[in-house]
Amino acid sequence: MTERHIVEKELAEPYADLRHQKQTANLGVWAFLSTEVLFFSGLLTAYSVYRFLYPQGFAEAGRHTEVLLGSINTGVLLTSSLFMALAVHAIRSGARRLMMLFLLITALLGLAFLGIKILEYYKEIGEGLLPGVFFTYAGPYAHTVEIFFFIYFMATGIHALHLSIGIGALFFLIWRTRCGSFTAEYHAGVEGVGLYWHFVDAVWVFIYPLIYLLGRNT
Amino acid sequence: MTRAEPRRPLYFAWAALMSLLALTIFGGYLKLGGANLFISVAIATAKAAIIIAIFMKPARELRLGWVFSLGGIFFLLIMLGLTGADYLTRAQDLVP
Amino acid sequence: MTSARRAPCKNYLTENFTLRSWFFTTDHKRIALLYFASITMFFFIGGGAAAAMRYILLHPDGAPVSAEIYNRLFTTHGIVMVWFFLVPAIPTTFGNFLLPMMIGARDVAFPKLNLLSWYLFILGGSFVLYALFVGGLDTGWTFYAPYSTMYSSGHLIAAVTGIFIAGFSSILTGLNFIITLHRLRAPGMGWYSLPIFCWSLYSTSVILIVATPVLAMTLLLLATEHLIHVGIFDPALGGDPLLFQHLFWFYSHPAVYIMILPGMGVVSEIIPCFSRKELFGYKFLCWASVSIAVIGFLVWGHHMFVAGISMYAGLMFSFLSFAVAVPSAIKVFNWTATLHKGSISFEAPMLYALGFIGLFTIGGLTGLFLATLPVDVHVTQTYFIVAHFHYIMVGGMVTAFFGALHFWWPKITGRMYPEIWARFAAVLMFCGFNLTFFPQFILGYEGMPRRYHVYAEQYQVLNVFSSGGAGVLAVAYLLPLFYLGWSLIWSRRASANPWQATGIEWQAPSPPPKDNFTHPPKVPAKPYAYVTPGADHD
Repeated sequence: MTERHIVEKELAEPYADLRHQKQTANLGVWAFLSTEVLFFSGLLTAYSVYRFLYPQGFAEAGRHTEVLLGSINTGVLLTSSLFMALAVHAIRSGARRLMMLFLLITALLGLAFLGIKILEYYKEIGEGLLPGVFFTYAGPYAHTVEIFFFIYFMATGIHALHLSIGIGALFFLIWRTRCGSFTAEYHAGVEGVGLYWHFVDAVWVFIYPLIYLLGRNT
Repeated sequence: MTRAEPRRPLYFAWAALMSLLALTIFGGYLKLGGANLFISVAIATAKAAIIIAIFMKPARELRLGWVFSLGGIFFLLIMLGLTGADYLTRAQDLVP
Repeated sequence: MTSARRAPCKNYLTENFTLRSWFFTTDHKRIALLYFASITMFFFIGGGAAAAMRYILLHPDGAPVSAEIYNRLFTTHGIVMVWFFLVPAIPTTFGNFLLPMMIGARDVAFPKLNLLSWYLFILGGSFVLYALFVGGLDTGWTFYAPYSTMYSSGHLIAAVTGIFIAGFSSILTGLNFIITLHRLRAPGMGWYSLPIFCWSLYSTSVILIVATPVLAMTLLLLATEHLIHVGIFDPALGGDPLLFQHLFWFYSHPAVYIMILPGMGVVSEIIPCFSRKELFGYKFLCWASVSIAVIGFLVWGHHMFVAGISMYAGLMFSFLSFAVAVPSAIKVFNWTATLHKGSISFEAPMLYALGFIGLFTIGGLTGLFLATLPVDVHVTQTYFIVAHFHYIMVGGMVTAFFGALHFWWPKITGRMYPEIWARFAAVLMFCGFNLTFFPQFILGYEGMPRRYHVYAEQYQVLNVFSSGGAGVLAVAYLLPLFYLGWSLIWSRRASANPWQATGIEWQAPSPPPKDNFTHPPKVPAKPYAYVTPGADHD
C-alpha cells in the first residue's frame, strides 16, 4: 500500500489535514481519559470513607488480600506499559514490524495479568470472601470485611474489564497493522490505545497500595 | 518523518517504576502508623507521574494535553476533599 | 421583504430522503433533528406524568389513586424529565445543529461519535421506558439508599441501566463539543470571538464529562447493592446512606448547571438581537459561564443539609452555594444592561428570553433562601423546593428552549413561524407557568410536603390554582406543535438572516447545505456587533 493511498484513506471530515486530525484525536483521547478518572473517583471516595470509618476492620480485610500475586501483577503491568511505550516509539520511526512485536508482548503481559487476577479471585472466593450469598468469612469485623471486599471486587473487576478492552484493542491494532494501516506520519490509533493502556496502568498503581498494602504494618 | 526520539528515558522510567514498587512494598511492612498511608499514596503518585510524563507525554501533540491530563484529578480532589469535610467533622454512630 | 421564495436547491434536508440516510447520518444537523424528535417524545411522556399528578392533587385525599401509583408517577416524571429532556435538550438539538456553524466548521470533531451518542440515548431511553411501562419505580428520581436498594418495589435495575447508558451519550456529546471548540474554529476566530452560546456549551460540556462518570459509578454501586445486599449503603450492615447521597449529588448538582447553562447561552443570543445592542460585559459573561461550571462542583451538600451531614460541612456548603449565585447574578445584570437603551422589539424569541430572565431570577433568588441553612431546615422537602427548581428548570430552561426553537426555526427549517400565534403561546406559557408554580412557593412555606398525594385540607385552594395553571401550561406547550408543524408546509420561506442577527450561522442559507456554508463564512471582528438605531455613535 502506498503512502498516498493511506493519506487519502485516513483524512476524515471535517479536518483540513492529517496533522490537524491526529492532534485532535490525541486531545479527544485525553478528554476521554479524564472522564475515566472521574469514573473511578466514586469508588475511591467510597474506599476512603470506609477506611476512615473502620480502620481496624479495613486493616483486617487487607491482610486477606493476596499481596504476592498483587505485587507480581503490578510488576507485570508496569512492564507492559514499557512495551506499549516502545511500540509507540517504534511506529514513530516507521518500524511497523517492531511495533507489532511490542504490541504483542504488551498484550501477552496483559493476559498474564488477567490470568494472575483470575487465580487471585479463585483463591479469595475459595476463602469465602466474595460478598453476597457466598460470603462465609466469619472472622472479626465481618461486615467491614464484606464492604472492603465489595469495593475490592468492584475496583479490580472494573479495572480488569478496562484491561480486557485494552487487550482487545491491542489485537485489533496488530490486525490493522497487517493491513497496512499505520505509518510514521499517522498512527493516531496506536497512540490512542497507548494512552488508554498507560491510564489503566496508572489506575492500578493507585489501587495496589490501597488494597494490598493495607494492614501489613501491624 | 518524525525525528527519532531516544529510547533511554523509557527504560529509565521502567527501572524507576520497579524501584518504586519495591520501595512501596518495603514501606508497607514498616510500622509507621498513619504515615504508612501517606507514604504509599505519595509513592503511587510518583509512579503515576512517571507514567504520565514519560510514557504518555501529554504535550506530545498539543500543550493543551496537560490541562486534560490533570483536569480529572482536580475534580477528584474536590470530591475527596468536600466529602472528607463531612466525614471528618461528624460524630459517627455506625455499626462496624 | 418576502415574495415567493424558493428553498435553496440542495440543503441538508433535501440531500437524501432515504431512512438510511437519516438513521446512519453523521451530519450534525440531522443528528440534531433526530435528537429533537426524541426529546420531544420524552417531554410529552414526562409531561403526561406531571399532568396526572396535578390532576390527582386537585383533591386532598389524593383520589383516585393510591400512594403506590402516585410514587411511580413522580418517579417517572423526575427520571424522564431530568435525564431524557432537561440534560440533553438544548445541547443535543441546538448545540449539535449550531455549534459547528457558529464557529465556521463543517461538522463536529467526531461526527461518528455524535451518531453513537444518539444511538446510546435511544438505547438508554428504551431501557427506562421499559422499566416505566412494566410498572415503574417508586424511589423518586433520586434513588436514595437504602430504600431503593432494599425495600423499593419496581424495576430498579432496568431503569438504572437505561440512565447509565444515556449517561455515556451525554459524555460523548460533551467530549465532542469540547474538542470541536478547541480544534475546529475557523481561522481568525479566537475564543473571544465566539458567541456566548458557545462559551455556555463549552462550560456545559466540561460538566458533562466530569460529572456524568460519577453518576455512572454511583448507579453501578446502587445496582450491585440492590442485587447482593453487601451493605455499602445500609446502616444495619455498617454502611452509610449518606455516602450514596454524596456520590449522587456530586453529579446531580452540577447536572442542574448542565440544564441551565445552555439556556443562558440562548438568552445571550436573543437579547442583543432584539435590543439591537451589543451584549454588555461580554468577557464577564464568558467567565461567568465557566465559573458556574466550576463552582457548581463545590456545592452539592446543600441537598443534604438535613440528611445528617456535619454542621461544619453544612456551613461550608452553604457559603459555597452563596458563591455560585454570583456568576448567575452577573449574567442577569448583563442581560438587563444590554436591554437598557436598546431598541427593543417583542418577537416571540424575545418574549421567551424576557420571560426567562424574570422567572430564572425568581428561581435563582429562592435558591439563595435555600442556601441559607435555617431557612432550608424549614422548607426542605416541601413544595418550596419543588417551586424553586421548577422556576429554574421550567421557567428558565424550558422557556429558553422555546425561545431557541423560535429564534432558530427559520435557520433550521427554512420557514418562518406565524408570529401572532407564537407570541400568544409565549404569553400563555408565562401566565400558565406562574399560575402553576407560584402557589407552590406558598404551599411549601406553609408546610405542604412534597412527594405526597394526600395533603391537609387547608392546602386545597392553592393546589387547585396550581393544577389549573398546569392545564394552561399544557395548552401553551401544545400550541407550538400545531403552528410550527403548520409552518413547515404552509408558511413563507425564510431568508438567510430574517432577524438581521450577528453570528456566523446566519450567513448560511436557510436551511443550510450539508457542509453548512455556500461561501467561506466571514468571521466578524467581534461578536454582537449590533448597531442600535438612534443611539449616539462615536
